[in-house]
Formats: sequence, C-alpha cells, structure tokens
Amino acid sequence: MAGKLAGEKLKLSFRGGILIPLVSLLVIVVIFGALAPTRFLTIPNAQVVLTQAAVLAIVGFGVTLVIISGSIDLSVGSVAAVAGIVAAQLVPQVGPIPALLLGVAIGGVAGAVNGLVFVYLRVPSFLVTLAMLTTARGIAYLISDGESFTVYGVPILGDLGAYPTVVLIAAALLALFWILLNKTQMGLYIRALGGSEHIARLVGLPLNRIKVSLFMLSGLAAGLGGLVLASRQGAATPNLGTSLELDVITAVVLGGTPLTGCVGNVTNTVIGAIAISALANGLIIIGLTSDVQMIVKGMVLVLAILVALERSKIGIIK
Amino acid sequence: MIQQSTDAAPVVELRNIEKRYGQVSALRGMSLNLHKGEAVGIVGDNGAGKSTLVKILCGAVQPTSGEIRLNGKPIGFNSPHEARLSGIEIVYQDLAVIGHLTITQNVFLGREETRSFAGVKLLDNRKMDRITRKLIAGLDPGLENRTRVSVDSLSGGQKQSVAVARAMAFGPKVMILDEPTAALSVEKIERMLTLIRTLKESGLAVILISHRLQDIMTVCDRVVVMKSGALVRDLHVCTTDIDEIVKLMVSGGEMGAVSGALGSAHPEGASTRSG
Ligand SMILES: Nc1ncnc2c1ncn2[C@@H]1O[C@H](COP(=O)(O)OP(=O)(O)OP(=O)(O)O)[C@@H](O)[C@H]1O
Ligand SMILES: [Mg+2]
Repeated sequence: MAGKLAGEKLKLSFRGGILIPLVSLLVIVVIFGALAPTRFLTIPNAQVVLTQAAVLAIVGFGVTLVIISGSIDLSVGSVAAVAGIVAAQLVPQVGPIPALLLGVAIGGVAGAVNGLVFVYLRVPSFLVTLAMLTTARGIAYLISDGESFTVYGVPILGDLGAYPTVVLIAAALLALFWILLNKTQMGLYIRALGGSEHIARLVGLPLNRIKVSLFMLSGLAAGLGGLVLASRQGAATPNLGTSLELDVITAVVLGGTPLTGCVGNVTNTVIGAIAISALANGLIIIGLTSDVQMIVKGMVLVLAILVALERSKIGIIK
Repeated sequence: MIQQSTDAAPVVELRNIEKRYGQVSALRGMSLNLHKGEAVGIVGDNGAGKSTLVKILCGAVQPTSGEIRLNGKPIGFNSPHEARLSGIEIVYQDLAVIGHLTITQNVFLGREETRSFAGVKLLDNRKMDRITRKLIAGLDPGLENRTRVSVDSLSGGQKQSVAVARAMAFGPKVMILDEPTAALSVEKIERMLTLIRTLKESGLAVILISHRLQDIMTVCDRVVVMKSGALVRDLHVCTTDIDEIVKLMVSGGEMGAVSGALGSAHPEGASTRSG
C-alpha cells in the first residue's frame, strides 16, 4: 500500500509535477555557475534573470490555463505588441492609468475573439491563434505606422518593467491565477476539459463559456505582458514580443505542464520561466551568438515536450 | 407481491421509441415501464439496442421518435445534465471518469460544493472529500483512503466504484447500470448485486444491463428481452428461467405462442404470470 502510494506520488511529479522542472533549473544553474561563476552567480545577474522570467511568467500564466484545457494560444506575442502600442499611444491623450487599462483590455478583446472563433466557428485553437498571431502583428504595424513610441520616463507605464516592480506584478498575478486554477470551479472545469472534453460535456459543464473566458484571460495576460515588455525596452515598437509565444510555451512545458492537457500548474510555469531565462542569460554570458542561442532554445523546447508528453493522448492534441 | 408494480404509476415510461442512425435502425418501437423500488434487467444479443435505449433515457442520445414520461409527465432530455437534474443517473459501459482528476473531483464534477470566501466562490474540497469518503467506503472498502488520488492509478473495478459513487451522490430516482460487472471480480460482482438490492429497497428504480443472466435472475424483478431494437418479451423473473430467456434472445420469440415483439406496452399484465 505504502509502495503504491509512493508510486502515485512519483507519477504525479513526472507529469504536472514540479520535481523535474526544479531539477532542470538546478542543472542549468550548476552548469553556468561552473562555466562563469563570477558573472552568472551574482545578485545583479539573478535580478536580470528574475526580471526576464517575470515577463515570461505574466504571459505564461494565461497560456498555462489554455494548455491545461487542451488547447494552445500562439497569439500572445502579437497581442502583447498591440497592447503595448495602444497604451503608449494613448498615454498623452487619456493619462497613464486609463491608457494602461485600455492596453490590457485590448489584449482581452483579442483573446475573446480567439475564443469566440474557436468555439463558434469550430476552428482548432492552434489555427485560430496562428491567424491572430499574423493579424494582430499586422494591426500593430498599422496603428503604429511602423514607428515606435517611447515609454521611457512616462509615468507608471515607464516603470512597470523595472526590478522589482515587474516581479511583484508577476507574484500578484501568480496568486490570482493559482487560486483560479486550483480553488475555483472554473479551474477544475478547465482541467476537466483538458482531461476529457467528452466527459466534461456529458456532465453538463458550461464548456463554451469556459473556453471563451480562457482565451480572454490569456489575452488579458498577454496585454499586461505587452506593457511590461514595452517598459523594459523603453519603447513600444511594432515588433514588440516577436516570437514571445515560443519562449512562453517553452517555459510552460519546461515547467512540467504537458501539451496534452489536464495536469500542470501556474507554479510550474514560474519554475519553467526562471529556467528558460537562466538558460538564455547563461548562453549570453558564456558568449554564444544569438543564432546558437536560438538553436539551443529550440532543442530545449523539444526536449521538454518529450519529457512531458503523454503518448497515449497524442491523438487529441488540439 | 407483484401486484404493487402493476398498480402503482410507473416512474418512467418509454413508449414506442425509435432510433435510426442513417440507414441503421438501432431501436424500432421499443417500450418499457419502470416502477419505484423495482429492478429491471435488460438482456439481448450484442447490438440489440440495450445501450441505445438507456442512452436515450439518460439524455445522451436523442430518439428519432417516441415518448418519454417521467412520473406521468412527457419529458425530453437534450443532455445527460438535464436528465441528471431530473434524478436519472447512468453508469456507462465504457467508464466515464477523467483519469487525471481525483476520485472526489470525478464524483462531484459539475455539482461541486462551494463556500464563499470574501465574496469569491471557492471549492469546498474538505466537505466534498468527506462525502466522497463515506460514499466510497460503502461501495469499495479500503478505497476511501485514496479519494485525493488521481483515478488513473486505480484498477478497472475501482474506477467502476467511482462511477457508481458519482451516480449515487445526489440522491437519484432512477439508476441505470450498463454492464457494470464487466470489469469486476467475482467478489466485486457480489458487492454490486448487493448494492442493486440496497438501491431497490431505498425506493429507486434500477435498470441493469448485463450478459450475466444469473445476476439478473437473482436481483431483478423483471427481465426485458430485446432483439434487433425491439421488445421480445417483458417477464417477471419468478415466472421464467434462464433457458427460456436464452431461447427468447436467440429466436426473438417467434416460435413462442405469445409474440411480444410489437409494442405491447403493458406486458406485466400478461397471462403468463402465475399467482
Ligand atoms: N452512434 C452510432 N452510430 C451508428 N450506429 C450506432 C450508434 N450507436 C449504436 N449504433 C448501432 O445501434 C445498434 C444497437 O447498439 P447498442 O449499443 O444499443 O447495442 P447493445 O445492445 O448495447 O449491444 P452490446 O451488448 O454489445 O453492448 C447496433 O447495431 C449499433 O451498431
Ligand atoms: Mg451496450
């Protein structure tokens, strides 16, 4: 009996558990700590890594929920760009706080559109959000006219991306998303949806509402992420957040949330975000060029997916 | 003693139910009545339409034509959820549990207990666990200590217990069991049969679909024989035996004197009954 229970725990730690992600993080820290102890293992560098991780986590919490529900959101990078540009453009006209809220709200609208098309036109989520990736990027170029808007020195918006503000924002968001996912009916239904849409429908869960809300939440998080990114860059540019979705999905999967749905958690995504940020940071510190960095990150994504994958469910990845 | 089942109004009446899947007729004018405190066994060859019939009753499948009455009132279920709200529960032949969720989560799925915390509705996991432990302890002793474990790690029979617990959790009026013993050991089958008796005694109407005729003979009051989507015969178990049932299943009742195949809605009143 005791042996069996231990077996169950071990299995939990494998898929959706936190042991493997923590070990990978440790491995990354040990490797770069050994290669460049004086530059990697410093407090300022840790702050750089945490700041980077916070941005990935903010966007990643929304994507985590979408992935747990058995779908995917590829549009977060482009949605972040639109939100960042809208907020930066509007600050002079409406003031910083309304501009921020509008920027985040635009993200929510984009997410809701994703969700509505997904649910009512029955298009697989990877296609819907791939279309949104292109569309939102186009909108970002259109409304910015290809220009960039400086947010450096702009009150509030300019400070969002600084340490420790950005980490505090991520921590607050973590608490909200954690409660939502683990303590509310909505969170349970998200898991049930990812576990078996068929059974979730049989027991009468309000699936359409859940799906639309999910994508909207992901859009809101991406919008907030866009503001933070703009602040970190000092400007909102139309190419803001390009390929952010890949980093975010890598962080989620590396954190131990498999693409097959149902299991995983937002706490895992924090670990994954720190791990992927530490990796990127370490690669720069040891002097690898950006092309090599991209190759390494791509390999890490595949590796993470392989570890977290449930082959028996592979027929129904959406 | 059989008198009571014919006099009391039936809880559920299925009348002349037809179900076509394209060219395939799964049900051709099937009728069935169910009374309070009664267990009805449905038997028939593979593909006879047993599962289709109960899926229609529990809202998972919509009939092409025909009428369903619940306590005398015509009713139609668009989803299993609606049927559950009316007190009709089913334990499916293919187990409908979500592997990665815990026993408690599966038992309460869609009907969670919540409590308000600063205006936010949060899951009351402790309460749900407590209720689940009690339910499971009665169904599958020993399993009650694992209510927080994911269902994936349970055996087929244990998953069955979870599915039954979910069906029992909200005081149903009608309980449908579609081949509940298929995955069970001999000992577990005995427990399942005892459970069916208990459900009956507590006033539920029970439908048991099974290929194990001896089980049906021991716990059911009536046995309904189906073939090719239609009723062959609706018999009281005390007036029949396994041999006769097997013959009816195979022949479809054609060689018998009484042909129940074409929609006799009240076979209980048939003259085959002995006093
Ligand atoms: N979704 C469906 N689409 C098409 N045909 C179906 C469908 N469901 C059932 N059928 C057909 O309806 C008939 C009755 O099937 P049903 O599952 O009700 O049989 P059953 O009596 O439960 O059999 P078993 O003892 O094998 O469980 C079969 O011929 C089956 O092929
Ligand atoms: Mg069947």
